[in-house]
Amino acid sequence: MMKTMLTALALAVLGGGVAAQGDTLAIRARKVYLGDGVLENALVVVRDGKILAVGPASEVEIPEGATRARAFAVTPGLIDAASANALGGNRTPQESEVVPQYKVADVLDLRSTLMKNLAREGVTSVFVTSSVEAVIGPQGAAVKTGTGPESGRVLDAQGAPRMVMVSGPQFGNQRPSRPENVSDFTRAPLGPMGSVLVARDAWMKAKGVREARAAKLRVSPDPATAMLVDVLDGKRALRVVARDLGEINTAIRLSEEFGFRFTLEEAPEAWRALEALKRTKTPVVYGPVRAANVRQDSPFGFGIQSRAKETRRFDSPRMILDAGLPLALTAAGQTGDYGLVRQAMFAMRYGLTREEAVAAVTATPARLMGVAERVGTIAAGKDADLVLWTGEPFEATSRPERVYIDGKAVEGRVF
Amino acid sequence: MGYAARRLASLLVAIAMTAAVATAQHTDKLFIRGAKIVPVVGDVIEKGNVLIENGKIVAMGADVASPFDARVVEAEGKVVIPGYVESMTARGLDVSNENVPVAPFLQVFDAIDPSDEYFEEALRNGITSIHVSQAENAVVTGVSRVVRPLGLSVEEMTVVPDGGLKICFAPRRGADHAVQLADLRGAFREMDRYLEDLAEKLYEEDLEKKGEKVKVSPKEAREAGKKLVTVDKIDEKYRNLYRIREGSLDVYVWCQRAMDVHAALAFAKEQGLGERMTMVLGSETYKAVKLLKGLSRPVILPIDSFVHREIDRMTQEEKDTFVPSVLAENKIPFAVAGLGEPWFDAAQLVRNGMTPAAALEAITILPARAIGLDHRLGSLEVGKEGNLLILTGDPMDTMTWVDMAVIEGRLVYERAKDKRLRHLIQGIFDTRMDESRKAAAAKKDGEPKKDDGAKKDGSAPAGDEKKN
Repeated sequence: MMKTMLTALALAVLGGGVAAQGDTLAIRARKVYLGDGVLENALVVVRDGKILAVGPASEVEIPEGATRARAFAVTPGLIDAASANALGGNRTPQESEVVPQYKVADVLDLRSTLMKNLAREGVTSVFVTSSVEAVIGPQGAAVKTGTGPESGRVLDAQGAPRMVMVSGPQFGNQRPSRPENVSDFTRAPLGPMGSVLVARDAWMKAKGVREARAAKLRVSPDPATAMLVDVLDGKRALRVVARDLGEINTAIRLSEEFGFRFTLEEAPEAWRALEALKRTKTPVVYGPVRAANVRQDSPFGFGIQSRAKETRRFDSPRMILDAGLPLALTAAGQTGDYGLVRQAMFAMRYGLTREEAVAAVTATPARLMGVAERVGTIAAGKDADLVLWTGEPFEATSRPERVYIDGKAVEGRVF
Repeated sequence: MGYAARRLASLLVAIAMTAAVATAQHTDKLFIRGAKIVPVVGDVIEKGNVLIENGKIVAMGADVASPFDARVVEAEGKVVIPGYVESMTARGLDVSNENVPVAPFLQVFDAIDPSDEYFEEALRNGITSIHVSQAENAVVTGVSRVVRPLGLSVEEMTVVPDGGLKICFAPRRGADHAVQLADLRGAFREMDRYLEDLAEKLYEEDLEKKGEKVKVSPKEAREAGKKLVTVDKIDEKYRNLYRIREGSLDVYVWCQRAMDVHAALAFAKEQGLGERMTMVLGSETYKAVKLLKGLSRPVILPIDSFVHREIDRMTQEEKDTFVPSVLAENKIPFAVAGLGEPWFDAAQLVRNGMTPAAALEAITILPARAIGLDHRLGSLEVGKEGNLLILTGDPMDTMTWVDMAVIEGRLVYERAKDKRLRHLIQGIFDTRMDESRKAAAAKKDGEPKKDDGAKKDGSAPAGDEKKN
């Protein structure tokens, strides 16, 4: 039994591994999860790294000379809308607490081992953010994973900057023992209220610039403020990391006070703030549903303490969807057994349907990241980022059998 | 909530659970009706009944009738399987290892915390027998114990008081292989010297009792006194080490790397360990897989050892090996240890090519064999302990929950009464939890069967195989 499986796998790799640009690949599957719907007994045709056609097998024609592949199910390549660790360690700028003019894309290693591992787990795009040490941190980057050439892999180098409501910015900070002993850790803020003060200060400045402009005054704001003005003008998205109810409420209060919209990230206690989130129609990038270390099952995967882990609810994804809010799932930096595939599995176990779970790791994150015209769904003209499954997607007994990014098969396999 | 408060809360839950058990004990007969029975050893019964009397399974099959005085559990549409068996864990102990490298005189009895959340979690996940042993940061550990995750005291929890000792060939923290092995051999040599002295002493005492004088040389006295040495006369510092060599106590042999396997097997041969020896393996041991053939017991493979990842120092290339596959190819039976949520752990085996039946064995009958309790645990057979789970669906299905757990004929867990689970998923507990399962089941029935073109071009849908 094991042997036939292995032979089958070897055959599969030999048979359908190459779908280089210029080649045509036709994938037949019992189920094709489009990201925003599902087709049974369908065919996906890929050419030049793009999806040429998708539809019921009876209606789509297989082009002559196409390489054929077969799978139980196909989904779009999965998307993690908050991959904080793709940068590797704490790379947040330390010179200021407000640095939305900085770009994660400038320091990103697209050929890292993590990028390779994410791809073979089926995660083909990620939104890379920095860690949580700045109050208003750098702009994130929407990128494709894998080992392919860097060109074309950056979907958006100027993604949403991220405001941090959690204890990260003040973590480890203290007053300098002597005035000249200045370090990263002697910056303000020294506490959670300090963080909020720094944030409010920055937004006040941006608001001031807008009011001055409205009064036809000439102002030339500093780059950080200019970026926040863009957010207030609605030209740019904003992420906010908040974990417990207090932090989420503060984010909502700031957004209503200054008039910006945002996407909530991590949010283990989102379920307690659903009424307010409904009012502001705030999308949620939730996760992880479950963390690797059961003993310290923290709902966010990072070491920083929050009382939110005492009040977690496993069915939060269900509640967020029931509140009518857009939901994306994140593994919050975990890979392997608690990577995005398993987060989707747990979300299903705790109440999502399979289609909802697929949407939460494909179409919805693509939309939130502003890259939906290229990734997140299977439709003609979209990038051929696909996952072929050994069984139903996210089932504990099935796994990604083959992953394509831009029509090219990703090497390696997962267990 | 503070630590003390949490502790109190878990104790209260434990008491509440015990209270539930007490009410469940109004009869010593439990009859489970109308379930699909997967006995692990023996054929699946599509619709059958199980009768447990005085803690043991007394009848099982399609036509077993309910005695008039039995408590009846209706299980139509449910799946009944044996309770999962955890063959090696240090969870439930206050610390995983004591600060004593050679500690055969210690007992986990003294370190098990019955109110540890692990035991409650285990019950919720369907683990009904747990072999609690100290971890691997030692040379010789204390005596382990097999417990059921139920009870307010260790006595109440105990299934088998004398589990076994674990001897470790992988270096403990702060040691290297040379030091580790020297310490291990040293421990046995020290015992040998003690036993010689003891033999001499017993010989002399024996003569003294008879009123005779010692006339032979000390060497001859030691030799003559050997037959007077019995377990009860040995100081507790050495007693258990003596027992593993004598064969009256199980021994677990921890090997982290392939090199440890060579050393361990040579040592086992030299010391005459064998019949009651179980190997506990780290991931790299797959390289010594040829040596692991023909052991008397299945090996124990902790979940942490499933994937061996090697990074080539020169090229930085990664090579991953799925260790269970290597063991299966070489026909080495293994028990999965370190279970978290067993359905999820076993599913990992299935998605990498094992059959669902084989994966289920690796968390039931094989761990029972690995700890020498397969005559009592690990399968549903007449005469065995009445430890079983009533599941809402197939064991490895994402939507399946442990609906009820039975330990020795006592209904000890009911999902409907699980307050903590209700709290964690309160939004779906009474509504969607079963709804989504039904929806999933309905969908699965709609799926085409496995042989329907699955292998034509090589993509075998592993997820579909549970149908067989």
